[in-house]
Amino acid sequence: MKYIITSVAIIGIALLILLAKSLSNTDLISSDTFRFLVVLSVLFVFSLIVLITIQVFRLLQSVKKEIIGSRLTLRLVLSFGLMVLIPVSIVYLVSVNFLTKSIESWFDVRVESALEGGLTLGQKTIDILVNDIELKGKSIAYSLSNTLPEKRQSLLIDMREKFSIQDAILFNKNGSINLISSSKEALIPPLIDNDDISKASEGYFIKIEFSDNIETGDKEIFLKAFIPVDSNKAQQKNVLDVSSQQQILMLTQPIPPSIANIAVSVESVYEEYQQLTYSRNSLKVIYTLTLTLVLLLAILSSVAISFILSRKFSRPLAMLADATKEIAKGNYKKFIPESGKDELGVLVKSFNSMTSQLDFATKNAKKNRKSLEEARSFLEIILTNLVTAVVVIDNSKKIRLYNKSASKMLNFKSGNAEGKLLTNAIINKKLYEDLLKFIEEYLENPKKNKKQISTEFKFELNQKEKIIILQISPLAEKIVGSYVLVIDDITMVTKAQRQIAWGEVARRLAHEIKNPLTPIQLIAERIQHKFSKKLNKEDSGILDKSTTTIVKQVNALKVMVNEFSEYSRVPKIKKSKLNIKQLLEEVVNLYTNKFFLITLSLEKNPIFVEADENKLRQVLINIFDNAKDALRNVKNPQVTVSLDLKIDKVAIVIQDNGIGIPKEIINRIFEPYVTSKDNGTGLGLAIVNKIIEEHNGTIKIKNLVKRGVKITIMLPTENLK
Amino acid sequence: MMAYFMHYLKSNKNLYAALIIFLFSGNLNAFEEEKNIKIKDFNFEKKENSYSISFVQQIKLSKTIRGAINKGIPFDFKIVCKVFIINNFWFDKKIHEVELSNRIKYKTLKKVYEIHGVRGGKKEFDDLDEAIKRLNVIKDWDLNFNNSSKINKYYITLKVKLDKKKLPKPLQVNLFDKSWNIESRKYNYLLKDLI
Repeated sequence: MKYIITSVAIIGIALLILLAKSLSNTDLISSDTFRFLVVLSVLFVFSLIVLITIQVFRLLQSVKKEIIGSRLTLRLVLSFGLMVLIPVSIVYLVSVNFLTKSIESWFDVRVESALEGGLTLGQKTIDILVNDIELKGKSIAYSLSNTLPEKRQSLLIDMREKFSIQDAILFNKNGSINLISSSKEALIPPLIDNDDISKASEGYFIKIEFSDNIETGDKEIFLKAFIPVDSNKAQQKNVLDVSSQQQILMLTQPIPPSIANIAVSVESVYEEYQQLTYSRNSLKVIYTLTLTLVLLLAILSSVAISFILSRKFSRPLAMLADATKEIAKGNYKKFIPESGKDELGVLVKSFNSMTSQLDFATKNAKKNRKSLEEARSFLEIILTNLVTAVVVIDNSKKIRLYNKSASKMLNFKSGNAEGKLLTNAIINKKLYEDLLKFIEEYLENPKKNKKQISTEFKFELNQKEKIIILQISPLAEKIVGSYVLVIDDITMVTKAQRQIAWGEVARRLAHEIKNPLTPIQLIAERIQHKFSKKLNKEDSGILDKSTTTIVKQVNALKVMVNEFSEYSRVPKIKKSKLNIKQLLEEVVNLYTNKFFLITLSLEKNPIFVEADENKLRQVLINIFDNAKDALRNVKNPQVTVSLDLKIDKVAIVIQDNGIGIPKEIINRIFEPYVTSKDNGTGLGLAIVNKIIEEHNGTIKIKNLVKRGVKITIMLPTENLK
Repeated sequence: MMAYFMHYLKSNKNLYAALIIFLFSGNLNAFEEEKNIKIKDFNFEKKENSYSISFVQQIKLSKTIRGAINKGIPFDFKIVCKVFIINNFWFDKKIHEVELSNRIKYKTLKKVYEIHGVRGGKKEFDDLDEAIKRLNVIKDWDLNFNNSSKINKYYITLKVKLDKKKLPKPLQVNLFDKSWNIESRKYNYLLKDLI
């Protein structure tokens, strides 16, 4: 577009020059060329209008779309346009006015009157001279007609000289010269036209001839008088045809050169003036048209060029504005091409320098941020995978950060808990009442809340005892008002510690009790054996009863000690590939149709686990024995046994419809000495739990809704695959 | 041109094509503006080695033009005669062109109207109408054309107009002043009918 506008403007100016030239130089440019130039100029004006319209439309579109720099370009275009329009319009109006007045001033009435007067003067002068030569000619012709032929020559010479005529020639009717007299020494005899002869035969006439003097270059006007000369009476007597005797006298008399030059010059100027007079309106129209075209082309070219200039000026600023926007968006790689050494160039250079510095700083910041992000991410991964619950809260107990374990352990509501109050984030507030109270107290106590404090909490969740330890401390010295809560679920640890402690107790009890039991039993049997025969019947009966009781109680103690011993033993399991289905069927066979009705639901195919067969048999027998005890006084005693293969586990589910386990002890049923039976040691299920744990399995026990107990044992199968 | 179209009509009998050409030719004499020069009494003669034409012009001069003549502004009338061969399937071919220029001028000093150019001579008249009457008659204008044959068909176009190139420059270039446009329409004469 830039090149089109420039080309059009240049061609337009060239056209104007040609147009102006065509008015002054008639030879250079013809009228057709002028018209062509006018039409071409008009076309250029239209093309410029079209171009400018397109540009204005595009500019307005850009303004509407809020393209950076478009408003500035519009302002500049308007400014440039006005800067051109106002002075050029003034010049145009003044020029047109001046031109019109100038053209009008050429046609002054006095000038025209003077010219007409001059012309009339010339005409009158010629008229006088014509009359003069007419009279002279008639006089000579008359004299000649009354003179004998032999005397005519001398008469002609005399009269020519007397009347001061330049040439006097007497022609015969056939055009031949009869007599000649000239003031010139070397006169070339002229020819006479037949038309002139025939015209002169009808009567005299005067011809005015114009010519140029070859020697002086002056204008010459000749008066030629053609007068018929009749033959004299003497001649007429001897001639039959009068007309054939008629001769033509031609007098040639130049008008004095001074008068001729002036007359010709006046005629020429008069004609030129008249031409100008008739051209007056046309001149006005043409000059006004040319000036209008000049004005239009000048204004339109300037406006068109103003688009280019405006864009040139506004482009760096627009680029700066655009780049600023980009930088605001965070793109620091925006570079503006530097051009020129003016203030804009310096601005662009400074901007580029600033951008590169920003880019450098941003890259560094980004790098640092990335490191921080990595560290944060690292911490987050650690926190996420940490079994320990971590919660960061502020003074107002709002959660600022927490990990997955915290959400799970404290049972947070679904969704992001960040920003929520800790009390609102926890679903079961009542369960954690003590813990929340403790935290509140800690936060409200300015002495406490600068130290690290830990405490243990016990509560029951889903019929299970849960023990957690809370450690609360300020986050850092510099970060005032943030506290970190570290909560560990120590239920299993406590349980394990308890088991170890019970194992130790059992081992010591077994050791201390088992040793004296055999001598007690032997002594009791010896006493019975030695003294039963020596005592009377009544005493002997008492002795037997007593010794038997001692032996029974010793045996019972032995059983209890053995169980203690079993519980406290160091794990020594011998794992081997075991068909658990087969084992289950064997144990079930021991109880089938004896104590209760057993319903089996087993997998068709054998299922193998890696386990100690004897230990697992012990587990199963223990469970079935418990079921037998639970179903003793129950109508329609039933036991359902199922064996299911899961993805990497095997589930053994044994379910009865017995009396169930009292609620008070069900949470601690796998702990030693916890039993609902009158004669139970409370070690059976503790040993079962221990064996299952030794096989990396789990055992769960729960009371059914109606009645009965459901025991679920899960054993891994993955090692056998 | 009209003769050509008539010929085309007759030879091709293609009415639709003729109608389309008629509508789009722009050469519709019937709708042309009235011209201030008319040609009549056209006569075509075959000489020994050439052809000559004679005709009468009717030049109508406005008051402005008559005034201009009386003020000594010379007026040149150009007569252009062109000979064409009719071409059935393409544009007609121009084979000959001759021009004749006649001038009328009032000699202000002599107070006579001079006619130049008509048959090469110069005549003076005291009255403008007399001078124009002389100007109107073109007799035995030798076309200097002897290239005819019986195989081809010819037609002549004749146009008379005021030679504006001889007028003062401002009058020549003034696009808006139509009073100086003195011309005839283009007259076509089929030679077939005349020979």
